Amino acid sequence: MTAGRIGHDLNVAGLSKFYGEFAALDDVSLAVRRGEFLTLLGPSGSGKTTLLMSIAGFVQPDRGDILLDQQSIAHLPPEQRNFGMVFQGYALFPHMTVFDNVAFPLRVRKRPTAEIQDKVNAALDLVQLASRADRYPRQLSGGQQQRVALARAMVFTPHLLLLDEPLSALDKNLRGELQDELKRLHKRVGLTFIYVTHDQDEALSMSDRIAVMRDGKIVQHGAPSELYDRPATRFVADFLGRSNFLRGTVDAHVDGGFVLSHQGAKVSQAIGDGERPPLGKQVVVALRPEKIAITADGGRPDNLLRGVIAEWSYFGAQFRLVVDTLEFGAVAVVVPAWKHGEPPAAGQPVAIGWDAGAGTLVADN
Amino acid sequence: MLSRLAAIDPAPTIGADPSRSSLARRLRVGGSARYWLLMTPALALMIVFYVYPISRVLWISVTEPQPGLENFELLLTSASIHKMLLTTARISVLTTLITLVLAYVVAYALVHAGERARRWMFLGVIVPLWISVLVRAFAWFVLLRREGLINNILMTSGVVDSPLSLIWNETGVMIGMVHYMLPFGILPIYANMRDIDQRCIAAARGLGATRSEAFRKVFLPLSMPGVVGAGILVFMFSLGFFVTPAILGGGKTLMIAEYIKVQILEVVRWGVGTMLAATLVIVIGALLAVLSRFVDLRKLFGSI
Repeated sequence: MTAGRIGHDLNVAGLSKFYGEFAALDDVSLAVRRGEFLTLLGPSGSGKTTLLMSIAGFVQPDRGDILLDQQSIAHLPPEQRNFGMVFQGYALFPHMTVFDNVAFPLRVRKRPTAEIQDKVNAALDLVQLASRADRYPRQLSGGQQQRVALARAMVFTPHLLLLDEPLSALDKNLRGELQDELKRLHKRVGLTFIYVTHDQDEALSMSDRIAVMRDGKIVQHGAPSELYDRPATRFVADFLGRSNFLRGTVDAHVDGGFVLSHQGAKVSQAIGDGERPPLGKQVVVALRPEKIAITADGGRPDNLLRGVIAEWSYFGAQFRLVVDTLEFGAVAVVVPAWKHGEPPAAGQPVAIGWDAGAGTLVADN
Repeated sequence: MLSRLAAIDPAPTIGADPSRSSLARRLRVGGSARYWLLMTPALALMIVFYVYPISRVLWISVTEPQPGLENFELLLTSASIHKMLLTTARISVLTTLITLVLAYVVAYALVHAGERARRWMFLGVIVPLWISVLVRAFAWFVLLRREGLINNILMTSGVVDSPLSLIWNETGVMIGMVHYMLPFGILPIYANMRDIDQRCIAAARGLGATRSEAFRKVFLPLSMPGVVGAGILVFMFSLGFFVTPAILGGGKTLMIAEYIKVQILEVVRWGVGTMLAATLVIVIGALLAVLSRFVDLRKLFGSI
């Protein structure tokens, strides 16, 4: 694999697509780096599929450009872009065997028969389906069909691999298995992957980078941990994982942060490297439930609230509680284990606490 | 038969109340008896007006003028019957082929048209079905005859010097028949094309196939079941077609249905007429039997 490099980078610049008045894509810019696994994440209707289809060439954008290694490809029809694509529902050709399905991209490229034979076998080996080469797609399980679609999309060493919710049709266990397999495959072949999903867990566990989309715009992009720990907006904090939102006014500036007050409660909040919000401003702080602790005794967290347990549920590895507080209403708390004697009970008074660095100041949209 | 089965009580299962289980069985028998009852009128109608006449036809074909297979011998010996059978086969095959090509184009346009356009196009396909075949044959007669609209236009615009003979021959018969058969070709092909996953075509393009390659290698093969089904339907209709060949053939182009009519009504050779009718029934039955090995006929006729 020395001749011609494997991964390519892709730049989307100011892409817009309108359907009448509706902007499916609204001035989207995105840089996809060579060999990276980038996920477009968003609810349905957020424009993630439109963006993928524009990159693939099935949707003609109204404005903006798409560059592959600095070369514009926006005017090329899909068949000249040399991108592999795995469709939702796989779109395998029902009238062809597994072998012929995988051989299709090579045959339309008029490759010699011997090369086709070798490459298809290698691709089927890669997805562990060499023994199913003579079967028809309808004779395969969902997971196997998915792997055939993957082999077909990679067999011709495409510039990019585009995946449109490839696992959404599978049941939960199989999905987990294939997520791992897909990740390994990505590492092994070194192709650039662009992956579309609405499943936050999938996005967090598989991607090098995630771009969160909403209403045709990319609202935030970055590494999964970056997005999870420092969401920029309330939407991102809510869509990726769960979050409590504490609203209040900036009461005072302190060293490395500020104090937010609400209904008489004061909460100190650290600010990393950003600007402190001006005094008197209404702000929202996102606080992950697992970053809150029950502080029955001992610990002295930066912030402390009192309340009563309204609901609780047991998940084996963790407890999830809803604590009613006077100042901020219901606060969700996740604790790994209950270390306080008797199991929690509704109506039981508790104190909850967290450090100033646990929350994140987010934009209120 | 069923009630006798019900009367034989199998060994009661442990814990089951025997009186209730036999009651349930009687109800089930009642259910199937009810279905038979509901089917009786249709079944009786079929037997009286369809099965009985056809078996009479078969009977006459081997008994008139005397018992034996000599009527069927004519299939091998009679030159005029050979000629007629050849004409019938030729016209039916050509009609089927032309209809399939045109129907494929229309069905393709229908599947890919927008919602509004499709509704109007469907109207255009369906409305001819409501007009009597007789009316349509005469309409073609008006258009195609020597002094008809088409010849007039061709003459006055100088495309041809003398009027084309578009009628009283096989050309005329085929024009009329193709027109009649089109909806029967379009609808099965359309029904099949509509079920083709459009993502497969997109996938083919994404994998490097041009528009025409994606059509040839993916869409066309996937639409073949519809084409085969439409082909069977149109071919069988064509074989037994009477009105259009009779009017537009002008008595010169004789197909099997008209030949049978002549044998029975004009020369009164019931034996020959019924023999040909029987032959037609047997040929179509055999065609269906062969094709049912390749095509799901129930789906085909249910999809229209």
